[in-house]
Amino acid sequence: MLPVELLLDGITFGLILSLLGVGITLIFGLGEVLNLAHGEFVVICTILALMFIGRGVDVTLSIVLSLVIIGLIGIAFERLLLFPVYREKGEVRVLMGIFMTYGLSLAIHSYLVNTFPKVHFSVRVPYTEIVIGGLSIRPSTLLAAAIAALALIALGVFLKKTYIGKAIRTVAQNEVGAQLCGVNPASLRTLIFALGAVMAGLAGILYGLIATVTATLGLDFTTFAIVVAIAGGVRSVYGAIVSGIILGIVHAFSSFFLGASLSLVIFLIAVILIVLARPEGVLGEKG
Amino acid sequence: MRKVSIAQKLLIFVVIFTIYAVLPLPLSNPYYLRVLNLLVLFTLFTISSNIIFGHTRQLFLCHGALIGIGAYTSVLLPKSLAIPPWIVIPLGALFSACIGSSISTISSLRRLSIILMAVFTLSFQIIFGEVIVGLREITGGDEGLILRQDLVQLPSTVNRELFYYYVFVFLLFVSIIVYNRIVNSHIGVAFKCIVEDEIAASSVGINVIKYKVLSAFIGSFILGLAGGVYAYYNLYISPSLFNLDLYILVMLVFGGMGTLAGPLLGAGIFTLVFEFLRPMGPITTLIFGLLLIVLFLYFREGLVAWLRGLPTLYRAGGRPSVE
Repeated sequence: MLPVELLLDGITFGLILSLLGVGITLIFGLGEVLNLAHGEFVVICTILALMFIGRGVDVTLSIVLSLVIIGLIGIAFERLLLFPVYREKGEVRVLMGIFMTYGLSLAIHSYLVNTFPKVHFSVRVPYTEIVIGGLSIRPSTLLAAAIAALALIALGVFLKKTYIGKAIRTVAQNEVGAQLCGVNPASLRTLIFALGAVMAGLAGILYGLIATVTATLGLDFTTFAIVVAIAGGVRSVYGAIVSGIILGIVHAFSSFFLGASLSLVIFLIAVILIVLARPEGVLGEKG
Repeated sequence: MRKVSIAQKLLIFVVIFTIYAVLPLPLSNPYYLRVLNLLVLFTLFTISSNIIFGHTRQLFLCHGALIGIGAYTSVLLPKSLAIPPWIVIPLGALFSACIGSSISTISSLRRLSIILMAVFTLSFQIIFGEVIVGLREITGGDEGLILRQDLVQLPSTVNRELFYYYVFVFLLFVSIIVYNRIVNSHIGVAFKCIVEDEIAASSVGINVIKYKVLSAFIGSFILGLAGGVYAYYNLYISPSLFNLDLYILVMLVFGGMGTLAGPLLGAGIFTLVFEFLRPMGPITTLIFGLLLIVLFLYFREGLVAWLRGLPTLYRAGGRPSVE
């Protein structure tokens, strides 16, 4: 495998990581809840897609349907489980958020692993490899990278240009100030949580293009997502995107040269070092 | 704060330990003895978690790794160096304590917020699992490590389960005394101040970092010690045995943080609940996950605070006042 191909794989995986990290960043930015159940949305979404495909629904349609449903599940979780968290303030809220989502994550994880032990989700794209100047590129990798990049750009435009996007950034900056301007943080939080769940689901589907999603991967995805968000500065969306791509490349190279188990260790040690060296993140935005 | 005289305190201790000492005597079924062993073991874990999280609010999501370090060290060291277990188990515990206190030192020096602390310790827990799986030749990897029985030779007249039960109870005894000494000394006062407000605590001259590291050291030492003895008791360790944080936190929150009776009650009740649910298989994690949510929502003060509120409830006929 050539370094350029590895780089491309790394960037694709990195963009998928960015999709996950951005969700964590937005949910934390708006409500100070670190969503430790984020990776489970990835797995739930792929399992939903598989169930639809199993019933004979067209692949694209079932992916869209599963993304819609994961959004609805996100809304349900947020409304049912997180509303008591938002009643609290400061440290208590952070702590409650961690415990709620930690419990939720382990609960969903054990349910999924036991109910769907043999689920393997991967999407096959029926094209042959493209060869450009000696580089062989899998179209599925390109497709995954393109969709992830498009989704991230769409998110950026949504946050920068639309009214709701501006309102979301207002709440992230200053909750009380936003309320004084007539913005309702509660409904925006629900929206962002649903959006985060959909992006996590999309990340799962795209991961299915380049690799295989199994029910056991939920906790790994959660770790990756949190790692990306933390390395990106917890509150910065662009930081999360940049750190996602960097960590994706690091992961691709280290798992190629060192193997999967050791590369995860190196990945996590890198994260600990980032957390310790610059608690405010790679881009240095103050939380 | 109620004043308890020394005689009363002594009486409470004697009662507690008589209960623990007499508990296994009417039982002859090895299964029940095993449950009792787990009960005392989880009580030890919960007491350490109480010292670390309940008293200084350091969120360690890596209890499992600290227990595992104690267990693996005390099993792997004698393999290569031929050291007897009585020396190697405390060594393993010391190693856990060093790791735990360095986690605490680093995170308090860097002033990590609770979020970063959660990420830090969770990453550490995953690294621990991956390293154990990765060092397959030494640790046995995923399949785990089966101990040869000859490491601890018991005379055939001694009931093995009962022997380890009293070893665990002895550790519990020591931990409770240490815990009690700490909480009723100037260290306990410092812990209280840190829980209330760290900045205010440091402004009146309390060395916050020192006390946090101290609590992490003691807590991790107990975790490692219990882990080491557990390895010799169970004769089998594998990385998946050490995903215990959820259970420990449920027990701690249910019993009541920052109290002595809390971990005893929480671990006691939930070990039995856990055994009761065991036939349902790994789905128990689901139930415990949901339990953690419900407890944190509606029962954050814990059983001890609720029990303390009961007399006032009867007297005044109203809601108990929980601070």
